[in-house]
Amino acid sequence: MNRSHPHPVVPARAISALLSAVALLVTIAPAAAAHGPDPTLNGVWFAQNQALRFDWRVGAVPPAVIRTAITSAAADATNSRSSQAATIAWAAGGPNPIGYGSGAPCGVNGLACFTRSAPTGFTMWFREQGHRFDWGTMQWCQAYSSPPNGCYDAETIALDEFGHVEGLDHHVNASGDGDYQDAVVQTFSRTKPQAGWNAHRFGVCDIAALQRAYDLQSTSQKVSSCLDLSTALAIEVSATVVGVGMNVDITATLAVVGVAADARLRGDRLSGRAITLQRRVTGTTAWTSIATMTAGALGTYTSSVKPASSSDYRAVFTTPATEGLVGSSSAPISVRVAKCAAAPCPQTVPIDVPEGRS
Amino acid sequence: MVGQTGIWRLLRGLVLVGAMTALGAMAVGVAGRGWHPVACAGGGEARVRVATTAGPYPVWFRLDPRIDASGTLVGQRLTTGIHGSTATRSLSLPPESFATGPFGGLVLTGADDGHVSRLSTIEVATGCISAVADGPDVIRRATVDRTGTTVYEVRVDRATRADLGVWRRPLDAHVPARRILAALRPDGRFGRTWSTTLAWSVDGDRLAIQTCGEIACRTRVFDPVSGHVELVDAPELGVLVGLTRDRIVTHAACRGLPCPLIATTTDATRTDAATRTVLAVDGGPAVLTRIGPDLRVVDTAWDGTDRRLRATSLDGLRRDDLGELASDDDLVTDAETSGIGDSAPNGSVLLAPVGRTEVPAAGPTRVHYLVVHPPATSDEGAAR
Repeated sequence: MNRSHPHPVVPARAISALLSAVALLVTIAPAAAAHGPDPTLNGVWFAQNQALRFDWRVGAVPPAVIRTAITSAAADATNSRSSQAATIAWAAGGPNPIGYGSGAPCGVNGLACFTRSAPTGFTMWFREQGHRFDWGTMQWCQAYSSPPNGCYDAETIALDEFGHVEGLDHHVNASGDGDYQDAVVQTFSRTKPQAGWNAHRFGVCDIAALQRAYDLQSTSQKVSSCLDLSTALAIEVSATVVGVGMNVDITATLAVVGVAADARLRGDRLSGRAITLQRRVTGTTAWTSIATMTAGALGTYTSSVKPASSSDYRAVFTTPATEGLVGSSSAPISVRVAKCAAAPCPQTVPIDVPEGRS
Repeated sequence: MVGQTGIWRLLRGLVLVGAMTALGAMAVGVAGRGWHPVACAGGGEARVRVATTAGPYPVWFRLDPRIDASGTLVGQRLTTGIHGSTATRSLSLPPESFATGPFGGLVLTGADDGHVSRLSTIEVATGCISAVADGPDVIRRATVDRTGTTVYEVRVDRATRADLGVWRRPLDAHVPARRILAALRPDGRFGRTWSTTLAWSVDGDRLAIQTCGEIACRTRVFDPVSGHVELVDAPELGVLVGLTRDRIVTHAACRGLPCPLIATTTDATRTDAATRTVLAVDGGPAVLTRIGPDLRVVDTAWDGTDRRLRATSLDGLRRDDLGELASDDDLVTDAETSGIGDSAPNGSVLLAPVGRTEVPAAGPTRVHYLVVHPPATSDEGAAR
C-alpha cells in the first residue's frame, strides 16, 4: 500500500489484524528463499505416480499445433519429473478437460490457467492465438513455421501449467533472475529469444519441490541439485575381532537425513553413490582412503578387508557436485586383530589384550 | 468460522435447503439473430435516460471470441437479450473489442479497427446504437458511472501500447475526454501490463482501476467526487473480486485456482501490515455480494470430494456453507472473466456451466441464480 498519511492501528483491532497479516504471510508469501525449491500450493497432493489423463474440452479444442505442444508438455512433465509425481498424458475420454479460448478461470491476464482439485483432477485453459492484451497481441510460437521474436512457446507454458497441477507454485528467483532457468514454473513467462523461453524439461528447482512432495522414484535417482539434503552413513562389520589375514566384511548404508520440509525423503536409502572406505591404525588420527566401496542393494555399500593390525574404519560420502546431497562420514568402527602365528587364528584373543586376561 | 451448531442454524437460514432455486433462467440463442444496428433516435440525453432505467425487463449480454480454424482470434461476437424473452441479437466485433454493463438498458462497447477506437452504446430493447466517441488511441476498457452520465476509459498508445491513463467524458455530449489519472509507473515487481480493468464499488460510488501484470495487480481506488486516489500495490495481490467502501477483495497473485482470497483495507488510517485479512486460503471463483445487510464473498471451494459454494464475511470471521454445486456449474464472476454481462438480483449469485457459458457449439447456454437468503433470525424465518 502506498500511504500518504499512515496512522497507528487502533489496538483493539491490531490483534486481529496482526493475526491476519501473519496468516497472510503463511499463505501467500513465498515459502522458499531465493534459489530454493519451488514453493508449493495450498491443498493436498496427488497420489504418487497417479495417472492424470486429460482430453480436449468439447467445443474448445485447441488447434492441432497447440494440441501437439500440450501433449508434448505432458510428456515433458512425466519424463522430467524425477520423482513419483503424477504422470500426465492425453487419453481419449480423459476426465480432465483442457480448453482453448476464453476460459473462465483465467481472468483477464496471463497466457493460461488451471484449476486444481487434488487428488481428483484438474482443468486447464490456454489463450487463443491473437488474444489482445494491453501490451499487444499474444502470439504462440507454434502458430508459425518461423516463430517470430516475442512469441510464447506453448509447450513451455503448458509445462509450467502442469507443474502447477502437480502442486508447484512460482519459483522465487535469485536477484537479477540469474537462476531463471532452474525452474519452468515461473511468475513471468519469457518470450523468444529470452533465455528459458523454450524449456521442455522441469528445472532443478521444480524437481526439488516435486521430490520433496512425491519422493524419489528409486534409491539410485539423483537428488535435485536445488536441494541440500544432509545424509547419514551407518557402518557395520562382520566381526570386530579377527585373526591376522582374515577377511572382514564392512557394510555401509547411506540415507537421507534432511530437514522437516524433506519429510517424504527422510530415511530414503541412497544407492549408486561413491562411498569411500577409510582406515587408520588404532590409536592414530590420520585416515587413509583404501577402497571405493561396492554398491549393493538399497543404499548399501560393501568392502572386504584383511587387516594386518588393529584398525579403525569409516565410510565417507563426499558432497557430490551434481546432486543436492551433503556429504557425511560414518562413525568409526574398530576391528581388532588377534595375536597368533598363523592362520586360522583364534578370534577371541585380541592382539592388544595382555596375555592371561582372556 | 462457526461451530457445528452455528453451521446447522445457518444452513437452515442462509441457504435454500437443498441449495439451489432457479429464480430465473435464460436460454440464449446460440447464434443470435443477425443484426445491423441502426442509429438510435435522440441525443445524449436519451442515452442517459436509457442508461439509468432498465425498462420493463433487465437486459444481459455475452461476449464470445470468434476463433478461426487455425485457432486464431478473428473477432468477438456480442449477443444481447432481455430476460423473459428468447429473442437475441448478435453483433460482430473486431478482435480488439470489449463490452461492458449493462447500464440500465444499455451495453457499452468498444471496437478498434486498427486505426481508430470507437465507443458506442447499444440500447438492448430496440437494438439501436449510438456513437459515444472515437479517437486514435486504443480504448481498451470503459465503463459508465451509476448516474449514467459519465464514461471512464482506459487507453493505450496505438504504436507503443504504453499506458495512457484513465480518461473521463460525459455520456450525453460529444466532447473531448479529459485525463483524470496518469499511467502507473512501470514496476518490475508486476512486469509489463497485461490488462487494466475498471470496476465499481458495490455502492457505485468509487471506481477501482486495476492494472495487472502477468499475475500480480495494482489497484487504484478513485473517488469521482473528491478525486482522491488510494493505491494498493502489493505484488502478493492478484485479480480484483470486488470493492467496498473501505476495502478491496482480491485473489492472491496466482496463475490458477484455488488461490487465497484476501481483503485489503483502503482506509489510509491503517498501516500496511494491518490491512489484509485472508478470507480463504483455498479460494475459487468468487464474487462480492450482499446477503441481507451484510457483504459476503461467495466463492467455490473444493473440499476434496465436492465443489461447494460458501459465503465468507469480509472480516474473515464467519463462513457459511451454501451447498454443493452441480458438476458443471460454477460461479459467474465479472464480465471480463465470464463473458456474461448480467446482474444477479440482490441476495443471489449467477451460476453457469464452467462459470462462463458453454461454448457456442455446445448448445444453449444455461444461466441461473442461486438465491442466498440472509441469516435467519428465527426458526420460522429459516423455514423459507
